[in-house]
Amino acid sequence: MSGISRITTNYLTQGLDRLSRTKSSEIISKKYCANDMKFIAGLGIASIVLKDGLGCYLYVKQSLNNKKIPSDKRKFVAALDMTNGGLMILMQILMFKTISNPKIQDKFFNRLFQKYFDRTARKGYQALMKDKFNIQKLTGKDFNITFEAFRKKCSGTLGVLTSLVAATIIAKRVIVPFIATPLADYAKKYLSKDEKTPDDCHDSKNETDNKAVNFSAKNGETNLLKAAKRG
Amino acid sequence: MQIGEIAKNNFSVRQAKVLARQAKFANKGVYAEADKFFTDNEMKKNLLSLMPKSVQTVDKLASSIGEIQNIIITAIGTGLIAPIFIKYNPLSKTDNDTKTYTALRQPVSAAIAVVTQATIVDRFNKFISNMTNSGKFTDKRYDKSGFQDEKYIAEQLKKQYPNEGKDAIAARVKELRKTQLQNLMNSARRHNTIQYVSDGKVVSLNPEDFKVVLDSTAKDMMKHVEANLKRYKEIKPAMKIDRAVYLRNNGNEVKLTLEKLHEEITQLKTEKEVAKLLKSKVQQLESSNTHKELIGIFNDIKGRPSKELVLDKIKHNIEKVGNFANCKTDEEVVKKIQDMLDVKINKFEAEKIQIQKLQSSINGKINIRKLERIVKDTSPDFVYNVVQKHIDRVSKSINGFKQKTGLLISLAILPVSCAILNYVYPKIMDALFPNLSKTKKSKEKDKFVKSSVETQTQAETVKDKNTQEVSK
Repeated sequence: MSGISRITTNYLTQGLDRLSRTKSSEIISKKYCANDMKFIAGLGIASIVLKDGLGCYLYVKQSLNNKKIPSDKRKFVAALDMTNGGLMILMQILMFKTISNPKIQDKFFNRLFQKYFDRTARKGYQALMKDKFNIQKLTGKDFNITFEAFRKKCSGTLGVLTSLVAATIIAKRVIVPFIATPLADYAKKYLSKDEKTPDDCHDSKNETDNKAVNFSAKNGETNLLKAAKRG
Repeated sequence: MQIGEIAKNNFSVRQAKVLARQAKFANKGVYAEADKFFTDNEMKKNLLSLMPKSVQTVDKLASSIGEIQNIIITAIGTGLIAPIFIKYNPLSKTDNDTKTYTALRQPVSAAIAVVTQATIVDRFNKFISNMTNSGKFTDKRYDKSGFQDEKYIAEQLKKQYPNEGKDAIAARVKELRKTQLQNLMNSARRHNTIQYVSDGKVVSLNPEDFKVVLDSTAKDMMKHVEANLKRYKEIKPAMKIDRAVYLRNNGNEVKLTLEKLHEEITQLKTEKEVAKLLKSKVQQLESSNTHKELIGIFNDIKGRPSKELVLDKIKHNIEKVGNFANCKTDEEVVKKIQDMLDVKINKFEAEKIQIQKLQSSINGKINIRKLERIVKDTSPDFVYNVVQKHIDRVSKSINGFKQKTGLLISLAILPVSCAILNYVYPKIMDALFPNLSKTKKSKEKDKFVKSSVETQTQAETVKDKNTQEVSK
């Protein structure tokens, strides 16, 4: 390991160690160990709101002040960042409270897989385990504990997958952009409301792609023509 | 394992000597208790192999989804799916160029997110994992070095034995984990706390924290017993009594039906045919308003996953008919059932008393061997459960800590990835889509200039022609 890498590792180790000894880390550890679902869910939501909220603020601010983005597109880019950010927060909180909610997950899991985990199936698998894997000493208690742990693991896994597909892909990448894009039109007007002069190409509702900008010209010639000829 | 070998695996020489001495006894069955961990895991694997394909797929997907895959799947959604819903959004009245320009920002943002998050967040989590497995945290609630992760041990051993194959490494990993687990159990008995050697130092859980672990274990045991008591006192009696009364009153009919079913199934050759027959029988019974208990018996038989087990279940049910055939009245049946249930209920009540005694003993001075003796009849794996509870609590603490650090890192990376996006994106658009990155006004100017130049050129051509004609 090179010298710089070793120094970085040392500082990182010390930093993380110090962070782990803070009061907040102690509280989080106690709540996680006690399976305080309200706290864990609350922490999850707070993370979402902070990350997406800060992200939204930074992206909007930087887009608005980024002179490299064409001026006629700048406001819309910033507006879409704003609506995306806001909707992302709302959608994730909604997903957290619905699809990712343990009670809803249980219902969903039961609908899909209950027949493989109900009493009849459990008895069947216990008999099959004894028979197929020759585990004659398998007690009901041991099997039931393992079966229940396996059921919880499958249920948890399904929760992760549905959250990933439903919340991350469908909600955040399909529904949010679909709703955010038309909302960005209104947000753009809100962002433009304090300007005294209109933007170079202010997009009004009635403007079409084919509308030409009117340049006044004398005798059919403009300075631009001369410049084009020279160029 | 030899001392030298163990010492190379990031353990101190003292720790290595302790482990080597104990590893000597591993094959003598002294560490048979730790085998429970592996037999439990083996049981889970066997159970999974019996499950249908859909359940196996869910399990497979879960083990393959990690932090990196999460980030990549999110990036695919951002980069490929979101732009479509921005660009082709019929509800938005903004011009197409602006929508296209904005939509193309998504793939750039996704690429930056993958690079920043995948490199930083994932590395951070691995770094924290390494710290917990090597005992670098001062606060031992995050210390996994007493029972290290399978992945971590495999990585260390791969470095030490680069020429060994996957199976050989897996065997060494299993041996080392077994030793570590048994050491934790033995030290719990010897020192009345969780104690192990980490990074050359002896680490002990303080008495208050160990009491919390014991309390938590006792609570789980109590929950399990109370759930069983509830089942045997409230749920099972009604179920069993209804079935037994039905069998007493309809014993002959049920016996004949089951014997006929047994014959039919014996003649079938494949599991599919058995399942098909049972399914059709259940449907027939349901549609002909048969008594729900007979339908229940057939459903129980149908639930058995193989022909042999189906035949076994049918025989078991035929015997059951015989159990209640001698009862003269329904009240006699109810008493018989209640007596059978009372045996189990009394067993669970006795277990509950033992656990209550255990809980009150935990409040005093801790003596693990004494606690073990209190529950030895009902919970012979008490010390194993205590150690597992400690390992579980450490895992949960680490998860909570990772959640916190993950949030802080994400907040720290945000301004960086945002700045990169705002710097890189316009440059990419200028280079690859110059038409899109011009303003509308400059595009119209270009269009006007182009058409005016063409008009002017045409006018000059006509003028030249006229001049030539005139000169002729």
